[in-house]
Amino acid sequence: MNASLRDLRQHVDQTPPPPLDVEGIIARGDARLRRRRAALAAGSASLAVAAIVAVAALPSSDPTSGPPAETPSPSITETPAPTGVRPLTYTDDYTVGPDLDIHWYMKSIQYGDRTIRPGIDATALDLTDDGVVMVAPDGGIHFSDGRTTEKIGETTILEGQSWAEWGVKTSPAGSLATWFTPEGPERSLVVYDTHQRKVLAEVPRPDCVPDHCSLSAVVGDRVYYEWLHVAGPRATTRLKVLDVPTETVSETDAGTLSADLRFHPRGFVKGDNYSTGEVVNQDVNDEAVYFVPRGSTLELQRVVRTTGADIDGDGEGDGPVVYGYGGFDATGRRLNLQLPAGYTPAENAYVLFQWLDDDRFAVMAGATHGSGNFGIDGWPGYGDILVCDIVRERCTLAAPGPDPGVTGSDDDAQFRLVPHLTLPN
Amino acid sequence: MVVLRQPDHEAFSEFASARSASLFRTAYLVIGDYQLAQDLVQESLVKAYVAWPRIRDVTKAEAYTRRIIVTTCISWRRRRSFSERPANDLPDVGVVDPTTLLPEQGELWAAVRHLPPKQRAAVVLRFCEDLSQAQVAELMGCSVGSVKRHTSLALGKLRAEMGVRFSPPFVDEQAVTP
Repeated sequence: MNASLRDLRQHVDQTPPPPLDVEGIIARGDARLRRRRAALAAGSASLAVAAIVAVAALPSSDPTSGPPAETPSPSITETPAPTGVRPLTYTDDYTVGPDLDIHWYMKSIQYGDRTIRPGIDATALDLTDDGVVMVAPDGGIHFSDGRTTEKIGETTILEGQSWAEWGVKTSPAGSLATWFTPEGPERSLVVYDTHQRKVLAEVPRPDCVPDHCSLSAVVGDRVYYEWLHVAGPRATTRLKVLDVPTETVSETDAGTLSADLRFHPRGFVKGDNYSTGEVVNQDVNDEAVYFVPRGSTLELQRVVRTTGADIDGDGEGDGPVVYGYGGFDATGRRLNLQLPAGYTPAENAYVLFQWLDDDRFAVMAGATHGSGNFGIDGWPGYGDILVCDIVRERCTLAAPGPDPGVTGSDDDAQFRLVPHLTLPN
Repeated sequence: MVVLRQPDHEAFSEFASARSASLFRTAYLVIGDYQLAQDLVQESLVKAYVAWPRIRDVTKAEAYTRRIIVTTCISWRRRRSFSERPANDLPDVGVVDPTTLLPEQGELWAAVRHLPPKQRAAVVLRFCEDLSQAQVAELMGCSVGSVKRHTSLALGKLRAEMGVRFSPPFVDEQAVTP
């Protein structure tokens, strides 16, 4: 007897569906919502110095192992972060390398209600669901889960570039960190799982000389990267994708990447039409995701067109740029983000740097990327971090910007360092 | 004080109860295992419940949940592949699967279950659920071109495995070169 796929449908139709435990589903859903609330509360608590001090002074929930109240607080608290929720992360506590190069000595990093003390020079910060990823000036890739910091790999940093622009990439959600190993015949693309603490995939890529390959995005368990193919005088950029489970690399296109990104919740669709709009996530390689205050709301900003006018007279069109505002979340819901009541927003744009969970993301005022300068001191609101909730349709001031200190040159500015965005260099 | 919006229990319960059979059918077809399909429906409904305040148009809730089912299934299978070794024969499941009561489809069912997750999802959604290529692309979160490719590859594998015992559907996908 021949079998057809349509017969399978009949086959399954005759199968009695199992009973559904709706109450159990609701209970599990409520538990997830409670974990989100707990994470939210923990993140808010971390922003109040008094609360941090109080938490540090409290004994652990386990009376047999907790330190006495008078014991100096450890470098971290023991509150575990709920799975899938990333604590708000930033640092104002660092020293700059004496050569003012891309060396930032990370004295401490605020990680939700924890304080991580990596104590290493880093050129950039990034996050996975499990902790903080840092890259040292020598190309060493380090990971800290808040308890220990360990080296997990090595890459090459091009002179004059920061790693975040090309070399190491994490995803807005999940545990994967990817990078290209140092240049040479053994060069490969590595995919590391910070939860399992092991390399999941390592694919030889000897053709990826440092300035010929750049990581584009990690979407689910697919790693997209661009490869500059040079053939004689012609050079063309091709988009490749590594399927991590099968460790296979294939050529793909921007449309496929866009379709892949569209489905994932931690991203936006720019424009007036969800179906035809541009999909963006938090990546910095092509363009960071900017929001701008407009009245009482924070609006997603997009470039509509450039007029091409040659303002600086160098023979090339350089502006002005015509901007549009507004967009959608990944489910097609139009973004409506109310600014905090009574809050005076910064004049500069706010840049997305972190998703806390599927509903909440963090933006910082005054940040730019790629220019090597996060802003100029003295601007009101500079460095403010807002956490915006798509469902609640509002943003809250999660961490006021650092004290700008003395006014003067950019060198005197008090930077705030956040994950994912290119650090000043 | 931060308050996350609470889902509407009554509306969600009504939706879940009314559509569970349909959702289970999709889950069963894409994952190919009765017990796992149960788990898949439960997990997908939990995700839908958490997202419920965002779903303003309840008429789209089923499509949204079905999309969660498909992508969660693909994700599960991919993750399982990290720790599972490939095998020629699928192990027997410990739970009684009511579909084993229809043995004449067993060979095709087994062949479909052996397909990679995206290929299986594409082929069962297209030919068992009778969805259009665009609808399948929407559910899988990929392009129509990808759906065509996955479907073509899947049909090719089924033909190779079953030979003349497989009656292929007469559709455009068969002509697509992978």
